[in-house]
Amino acid sequence: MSVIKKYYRAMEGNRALKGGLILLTILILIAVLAPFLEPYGAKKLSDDVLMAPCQAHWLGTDDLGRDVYSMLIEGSRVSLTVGIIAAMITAVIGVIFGAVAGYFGGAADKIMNEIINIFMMLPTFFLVLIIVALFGSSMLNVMIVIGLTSWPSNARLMRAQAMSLRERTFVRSAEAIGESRFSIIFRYIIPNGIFPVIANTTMNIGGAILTEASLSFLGLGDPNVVSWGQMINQGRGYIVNGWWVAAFAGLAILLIVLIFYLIGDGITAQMNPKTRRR
Amino acid sequence: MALLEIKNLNVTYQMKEKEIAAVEDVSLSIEEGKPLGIVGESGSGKSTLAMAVLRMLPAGTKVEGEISLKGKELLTMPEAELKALRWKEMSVVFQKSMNTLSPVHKIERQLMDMYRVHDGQTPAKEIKQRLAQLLALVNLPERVLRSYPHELSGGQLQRVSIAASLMHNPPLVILDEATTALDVITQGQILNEIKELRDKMKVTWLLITHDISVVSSCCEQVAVMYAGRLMEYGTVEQVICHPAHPYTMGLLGSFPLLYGERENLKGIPGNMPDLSKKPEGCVFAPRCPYAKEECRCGRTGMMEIETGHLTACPVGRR
Amino acid sequence: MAYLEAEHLCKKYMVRGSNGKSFLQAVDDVNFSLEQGEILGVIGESGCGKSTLGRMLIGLEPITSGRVTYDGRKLEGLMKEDLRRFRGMAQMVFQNPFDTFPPKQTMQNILLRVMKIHHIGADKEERRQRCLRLLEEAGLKPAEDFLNRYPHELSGGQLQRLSIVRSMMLSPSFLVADEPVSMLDVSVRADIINMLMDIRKKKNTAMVFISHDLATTRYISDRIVVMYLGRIVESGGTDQVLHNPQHPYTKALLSYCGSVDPREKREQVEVPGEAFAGAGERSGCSFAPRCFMACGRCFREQPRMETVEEGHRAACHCMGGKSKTE
Repeated sequence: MSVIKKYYRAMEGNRALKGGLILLTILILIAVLAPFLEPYGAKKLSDDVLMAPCQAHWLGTDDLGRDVYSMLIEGSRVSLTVGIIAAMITAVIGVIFGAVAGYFGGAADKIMNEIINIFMMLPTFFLVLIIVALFGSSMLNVMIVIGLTSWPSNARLMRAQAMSLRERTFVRSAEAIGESRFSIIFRYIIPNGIFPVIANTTMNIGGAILTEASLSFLGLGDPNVVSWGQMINQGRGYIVNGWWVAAFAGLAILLIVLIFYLIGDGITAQMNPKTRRR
Repeated sequence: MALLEIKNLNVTYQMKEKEIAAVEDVSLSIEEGKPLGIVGESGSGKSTLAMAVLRMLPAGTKVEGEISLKGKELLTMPEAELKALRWKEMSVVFQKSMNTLSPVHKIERQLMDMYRVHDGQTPAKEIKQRLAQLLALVNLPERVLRSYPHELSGGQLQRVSIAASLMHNPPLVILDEATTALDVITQGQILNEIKELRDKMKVTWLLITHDISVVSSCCEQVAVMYAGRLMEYGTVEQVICHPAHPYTMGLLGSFPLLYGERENLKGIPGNMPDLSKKPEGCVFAPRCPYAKEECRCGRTGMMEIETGHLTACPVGRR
Repeated sequence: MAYLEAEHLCKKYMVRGSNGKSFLQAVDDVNFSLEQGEILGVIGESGCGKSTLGRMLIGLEPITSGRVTYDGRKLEGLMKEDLRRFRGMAQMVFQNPFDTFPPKQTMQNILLRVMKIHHIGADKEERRQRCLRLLEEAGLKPAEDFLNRYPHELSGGQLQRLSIVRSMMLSPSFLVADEPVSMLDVSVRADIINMLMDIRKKKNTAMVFISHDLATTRYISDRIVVMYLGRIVESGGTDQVLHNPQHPYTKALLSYCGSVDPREKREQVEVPGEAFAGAGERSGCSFAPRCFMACGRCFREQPRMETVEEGHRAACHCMGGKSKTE
């Protein structure tokens, strides 16, 4: 209890972080409680095709008669799962890769840094397209592919952190007392340099959600699940006489990405003593 | 009239959950031509005192008391008036003054800009002459003006900062640990220059340092501070040669000597007290070898034991 | 044979400048030896290579050329054979006590970790008890209280004590103390110095005490070497160097050493300019450009260490001869 209180107090004056976290909590609750919140079930077809928002269907129905509101709620699960897991993959790869490169320095760093640069220059989205086209478009594939292509920003941050931490006395003294290099990276470098990576990873979640939505929009998403990108794709054909199919999904994506940016921004501000209020 | 007069100064930092009394009830005065050195360890409040004089403390800090420069009250002065006064009447050199120089402009341009902030009338040619003259005073060649900061050494940059502080002939210059980070030889040379400048420029130094040897070589008056309070105050001769306060004695005793008997070095046992808790009695009592029962309860003010020699300790000089 | 020997130690750093690569000679042909239980003071200004030398001695910095031997065994060999054992043998105390410990861990975690790495004590409880005993011995009382604190809650003097305690947990036979008191308040410096001397007395640990301050060093060191721009310019017993300095640089350092007594007037040696550790080859004595008695030979030819008296050596062409000021 006191821990929560402490963190709450620390956040005082940081509206971006506070607002973002409250919205995220609501979003997670929605995703978890989805089965209870959906009035119709996201995949249930009906004869009420392309109905405008009304009392029975709050946000209308799509061309197959599915309830848009239910689909939207179901879709939050896909977006959150893909976003969070993909970003986790970027964090793990980025942190380890960056910490190793930054701590060891020298030739190892040179090679690893070039690899980071190569991945940074790659047109990520097309790479994702190709891989999904080749290996099929299950949700798992989509998450892994996004994770494997968007880690370089994290690696760069961690590398910079490791390079400055390496010169700190406590890292040198850890070497002097006989810590192994492995321990130094995992016990000294990473815990003390991970904060910027956490902030960046939060923003990566927003990016991953967007990528997933784009893939679904292009018809390369997992066909077995309902996702917001797919809804926009579907609604594309009916934008004139059934705008609600695409519009609400678009709004949902906007909102979720915004939430993660708010949190990421908030964490960055929290870490910076200059912007943190005393 | 004294050049700078500090009366009953109290500075309290307001933290999230506590108040820290960084300076408590300090009264000092500096006479023109008599440089004062304030000696103290970290946490003694010596730098806070300087910041209070410069009115550069963080917003929200509680400052009480009076500080007057040539009879003008500084603490209540409007911001605009204070701005006009800074650098013309008093200036400051910090420990890492070199960090205030921009890395992408030449020294000359930066010094000229600084000059113009306080005097926009003077033609460029005259300013340049003045700068060359100032650099000569601190033993720097004129080519320094055409250099970038990274081309100069730490000692040279600190000399540039001292030259900059003397730009408008202020009667009072505060040197806040100005020679601390420098090498032994460079520090010694700059201190020599400081001593000479005193006569050449008619400037009075307020020297803030942790190093007694700096004070004893460059100052006439000394104030010893500990945990935000004034311990002892007097001329260098009085305080350093005949200390009356146990803290001063301890500080002098822990200073390593280059020659003489090589016995064990003596320190002062214990640690600085927590400044957010107001101690009853003397702040130094917990670490004092002569402390008696009465030291721990009542506080006595400064008392004069001979003309101009004040001490906060009634026991120290039995 | 001496316990620790350094022979022709060199450290070169590659520097990339506007005119391509060049080398910076941070440590240049350093030779000395150290007996068990002996304390050697290494004196020099910032950038003279004294810290680099200290780190090289315990294998924290690769050696460019030359060698370090412990009891006749080469440093590289010892490290390759069993790095952990070597670390237990040669320890270091750092300059900045405020940054010596990882900021987010309690002292208990930090101190017990060392014992765990080196397999001291069977379980956590035993290590804890041992740790408490060591803290009390070092005058850190109440010990329990220190274990629950974070580094930022302690004062510089306490942290430096803890740093020494941590190093001594491994019972090293050699300790490098890199400016251990320069960031501390004057009144607590004595504590640290006395603590180190105590350790030497009890454990017969050999030490290298690195400092820029001759006055402090003299209290702890048996012998002193003075370094200037990577080279040793003078070495000898503490009193020999202090009372009979031979090299003009040592004389200059002594003449600028601060004194508390306002009545004491010391003749100051004129030393223009500042030490400049530039890259590239140097010819002649590196102190010559600032030296008050430099002659033509000093700029052409590097002076070699020559014996002045028993155990006292210096590297200067003009030694013994008349200088300009005399």
